[in-house]
Amino acid sequence: MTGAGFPVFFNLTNSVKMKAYKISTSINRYLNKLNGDKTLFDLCSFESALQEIDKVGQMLERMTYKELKKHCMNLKKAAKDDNHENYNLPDIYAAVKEVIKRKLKVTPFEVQLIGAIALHQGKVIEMQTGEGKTLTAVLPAILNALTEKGVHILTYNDYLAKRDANWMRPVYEFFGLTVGFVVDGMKPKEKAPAYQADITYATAKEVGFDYLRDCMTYHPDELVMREFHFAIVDEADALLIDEARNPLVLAGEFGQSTLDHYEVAQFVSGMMSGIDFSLDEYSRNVYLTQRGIEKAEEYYGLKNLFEDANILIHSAINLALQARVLLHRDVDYIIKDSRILLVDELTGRVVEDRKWQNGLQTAVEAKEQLPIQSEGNILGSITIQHLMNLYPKLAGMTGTAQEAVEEFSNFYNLGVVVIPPNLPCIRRDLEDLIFSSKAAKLQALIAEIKAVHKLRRPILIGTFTVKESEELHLELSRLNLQSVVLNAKNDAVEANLVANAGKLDAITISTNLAGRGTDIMLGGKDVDERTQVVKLGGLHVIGTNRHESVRIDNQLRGRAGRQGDPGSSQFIVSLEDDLMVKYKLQELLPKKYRNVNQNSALVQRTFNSTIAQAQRIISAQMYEIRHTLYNYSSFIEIQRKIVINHRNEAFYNYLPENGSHKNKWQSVLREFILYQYDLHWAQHLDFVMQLRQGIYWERIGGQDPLRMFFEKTDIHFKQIMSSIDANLKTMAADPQNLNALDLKKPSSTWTYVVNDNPFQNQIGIFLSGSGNMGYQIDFFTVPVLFLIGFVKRLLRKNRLN
Amino acid sequence: MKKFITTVKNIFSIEDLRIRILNTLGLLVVFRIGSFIVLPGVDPSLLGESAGGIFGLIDTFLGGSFSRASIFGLGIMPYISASIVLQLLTVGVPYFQKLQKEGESGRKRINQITRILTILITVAQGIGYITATIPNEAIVVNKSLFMVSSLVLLTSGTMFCMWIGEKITEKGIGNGISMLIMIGIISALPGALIAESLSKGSGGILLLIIEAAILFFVVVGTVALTEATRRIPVQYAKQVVGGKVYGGQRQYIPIKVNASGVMPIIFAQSLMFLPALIAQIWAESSDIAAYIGTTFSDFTSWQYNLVFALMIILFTFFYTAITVNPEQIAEDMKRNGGFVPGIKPGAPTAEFIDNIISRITLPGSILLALVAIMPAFAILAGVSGEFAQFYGGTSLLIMVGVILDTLRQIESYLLMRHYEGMMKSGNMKNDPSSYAVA
Repeated sequence: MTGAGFPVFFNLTNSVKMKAYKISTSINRYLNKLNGDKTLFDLCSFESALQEIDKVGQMLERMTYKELKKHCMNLKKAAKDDNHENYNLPDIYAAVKEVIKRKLKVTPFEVQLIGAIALHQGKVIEMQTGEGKTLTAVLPAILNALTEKGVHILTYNDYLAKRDANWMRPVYEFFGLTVGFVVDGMKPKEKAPAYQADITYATAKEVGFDYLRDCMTYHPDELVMREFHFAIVDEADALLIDEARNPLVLAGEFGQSTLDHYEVAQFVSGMMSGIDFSLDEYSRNVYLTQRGIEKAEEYYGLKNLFEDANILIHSAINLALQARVLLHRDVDYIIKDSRILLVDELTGRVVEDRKWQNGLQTAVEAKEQLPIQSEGNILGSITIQHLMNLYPKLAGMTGTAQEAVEEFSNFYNLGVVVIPPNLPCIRRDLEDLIFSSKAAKLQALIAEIKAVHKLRRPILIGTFTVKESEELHLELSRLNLQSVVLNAKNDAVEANLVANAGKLDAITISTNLAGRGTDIMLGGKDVDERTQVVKLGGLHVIGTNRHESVRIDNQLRGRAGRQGDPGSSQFIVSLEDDLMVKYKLQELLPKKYRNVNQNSALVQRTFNSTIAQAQRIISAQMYEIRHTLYNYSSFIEIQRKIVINHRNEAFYNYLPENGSHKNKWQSVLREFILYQYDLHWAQHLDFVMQLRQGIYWERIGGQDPLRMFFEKTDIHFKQIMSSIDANLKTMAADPQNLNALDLKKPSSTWTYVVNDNPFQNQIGIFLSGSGNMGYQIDFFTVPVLFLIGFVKRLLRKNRLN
Repeated sequence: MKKFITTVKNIFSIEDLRIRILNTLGLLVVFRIGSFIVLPGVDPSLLGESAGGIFGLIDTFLGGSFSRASIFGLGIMPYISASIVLQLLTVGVPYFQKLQKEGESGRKRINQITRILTILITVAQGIGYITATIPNEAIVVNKSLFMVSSLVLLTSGTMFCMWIGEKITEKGIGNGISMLIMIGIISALPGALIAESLSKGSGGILLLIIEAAILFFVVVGTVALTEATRRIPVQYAKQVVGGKVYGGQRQYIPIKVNASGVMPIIFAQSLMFLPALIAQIWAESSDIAAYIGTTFSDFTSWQYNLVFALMIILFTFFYTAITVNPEQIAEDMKRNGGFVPGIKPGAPTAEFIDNIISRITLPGSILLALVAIMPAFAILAGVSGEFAQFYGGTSLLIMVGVILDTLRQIESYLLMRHYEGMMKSGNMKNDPSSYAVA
């Protein structure tokens, strides 16, 4: 992100820098080729385009306002007549550059132009914080919008969508292009014109939800979107990778439950950990013990909780238990206006429009004694991956793309271009301080804050949870250190807090909220104060936790040292942090380090490398989850498209004309047909969801779960299609039935996380898996296997008896 | 039959699938050609007859290249050994465990280690192979030179086979390693068939037809044994929609009747030559030993087959314990909020599953033993030894397993293409226009 409406200080476009860069990149490129790296470092190829832009630019500089306007309109007309975006990149970019200069009083850097060219080529560009990604996106947006097919700029959050749209508006309007933004809570009436605009700023989630809603409308007037054309994704790795795990789900109300959830919550709150239920911190699971089961059976007067007939109460107890034990207020969610609002674990932001999957939301509401909002069934669903693949052309920008090159290429077919910073980054990234206990860490943290604060340098502290940020704030105020907190609870004043975070003496405690999309200006808006802060060494970033991905850590570091400013970053972590506990870091450590307990920082290199390894393992597992989700959802996506094709045919073909009785009847018939598709599709999704839960058992039978999933969904899909067929035929035969129609339409939406637990008996899978006979006919290790089997069998018998 | 023809047509009308099948066939041809190239310095006419016992079994899997002193003499066996060693390491050794969890980079590293280990195993096995199977008189060049050049060639031959296997998996159809093993076995079929029909002479056509019919039923039985599954229902108590349990769609844990595959037979087979071997030591001094020696060398004798069958049944029970672990299943179910309807989670569920496994493993193991001794019956009934091996045993089980798996892969491929076609053309079974009201 760039500084909002703030004059850019440095604009050193010198060719010496470019040449030096060329040499270093050609070496890099060679080395990366050797390693099979897919990153594109080849910036030299952009040079001729840059020169041309420069040449045209010099001509445009001399134009009067009117001449320039006329020139731009001509460019637009030519592009539109030609109906092709590649029409004339240098001319158009030069014009946009000139307009930006005059309208926004900033001059795009050379590196921004390079980024803009790469974006047009459909790449993900890596650009450091503060290098002006918002501005960079304007150039390809205009170039691709000239044909009036619409360009989406997908921002990281609603606030940025609105801010960027309004900030860049003058430039777009100069070209006669319209611009709109979509934020959560807008009415369809407000959304439609925004999507019809040439350039639309919105979050990807909003776009996804609107797409799903559009797929379920009953009249063309209700549609808010048009066909997808080109999207530029801001913070591409966050959206396309981290959040790709959460499929977007559109759900509709289904009526109230017959169970008293408050009573269940009451019952569960009386259970004791370790006695009535046991807890598994690692995979975040909780389950009833034998005693807990008996307690439940007694309480509800059941003979066996595990009979089919008791599934309802059984599920409710499980969910209530999860709600009580696994989800913590002010960590996983907050309560606002008697509503549960989820906190995104990655961004630390409150996410509107998101709920937990069926039943769990209700259970949490019951736990907190809040009115139970709604339960629902899924009407439509799409993953971020498939949503993005709906765009014929896609580009992205982020500060941390290199770490995700593989994934961009595998899932989205996107190449990565690393754009050098306009000024080299001189931030000092200090080595992690690792402590054995949380208490020691807190002590060191306070000492560090005190020391830096004494110098009057601004400090940004990145914490993990809302709770942690507040506790630290309290601790600091106890020590008479003035600090401000930026977390999910007070993100309304975010802009204000961020504006002051770079001032002298500022201590800002933030959750991951400030990790992306915020731009902290040294000294605030005061130029004198800025010089002073620069002299002191700039912003100091302290991270109190390592995150699940290195990219997120790097984003936090990136808050300091923007545009060649000085700055430093430091992570202070402990072996008792959530991440370490959750992923059992202790087990990764060599034995002799497992039980260290000391108050000073651990200096052994083992700890650093172990944390790095833990992050790699976590990233790989996350990738695995996303990959699994992608594989499974791909098949459903194809089926969805088939159903949508059918539905669209009915949607557009049977539009009633005005007036007559026959037309009114036809419109009822049309609604019936559409309803049939929606209803059956919802049923299919439900089937798929249940199928997914246990499909991995197929591995025991030596089958590939994915393949069995294909086969089973195929059978069900054919069933729903023929069921639709039959229903429509019945209706056509006896139209009187139409009067009995009761159509339900979706009223609320939420997303949920799909969790795929891989099966663990690896030898078993390996040997029996996927019919690989090759592994069964080895002589070398056969005795070993038998020995293992024999011992296991003996051990088990002993344990069972 | 008509359906079969249309399916074949379908397969070949899809370009991608056609290319994959042709790739597979091409690579298999290369593999077969290689297995006929004899190591330089060996006079093939002086090589001994193909050996029996454990070597004979290996020879079957390698399509005769083992006894032929071919450059693919060791085939992919060392690679399989290396893979299994690595797999065991990832289960038992923390370093490999971590590596495996690290995703792409870790997997690459494991692959690399597997390859290096393959080379080491090939060299070790190669020395044994050369000294044990190539008689001195067949080597026509300097002995030590032969040793060195052969080791190099055997190692590169094995690496090449491994490469072929990987390419088949990647660009062809089915699992490459399994395909190579299967093609080795199947390569003996045409010769055996011709030999069998010649030996029966002109009057034996009826006999041949009867043999073929019996073979057909044996294959059907083997397919049934391979596919037979006991399904244990699972219910999940974590999602309830609007106070209504949806669909009534049941999930199942499929427990195979023959969960252990061919392993028990192979292990039993490789142990069955021991009694005769040991008995030989005292054969001259003891009548009993001599008796054992002769009966256990004759693998059509009832004594041999009885012991063989009992061993298979025993090993099936042991091996099932490795591949299917009821405690693990019960634990995993508990963690995921699943349960067998009516059964409490944890130990009771484990016991329930254990009982089921025990109950299906007995008939499974008896059937497996039956399949294993079928060839002996065939020989007793007058079928020639070469052809008889296709009446059961490891050869038939492996062939059936690999072919079923490959067919399934082709099927899901066709299914996927069918859907993609439907999506693109938008043509559909339900045409709303047919319900339009005039």
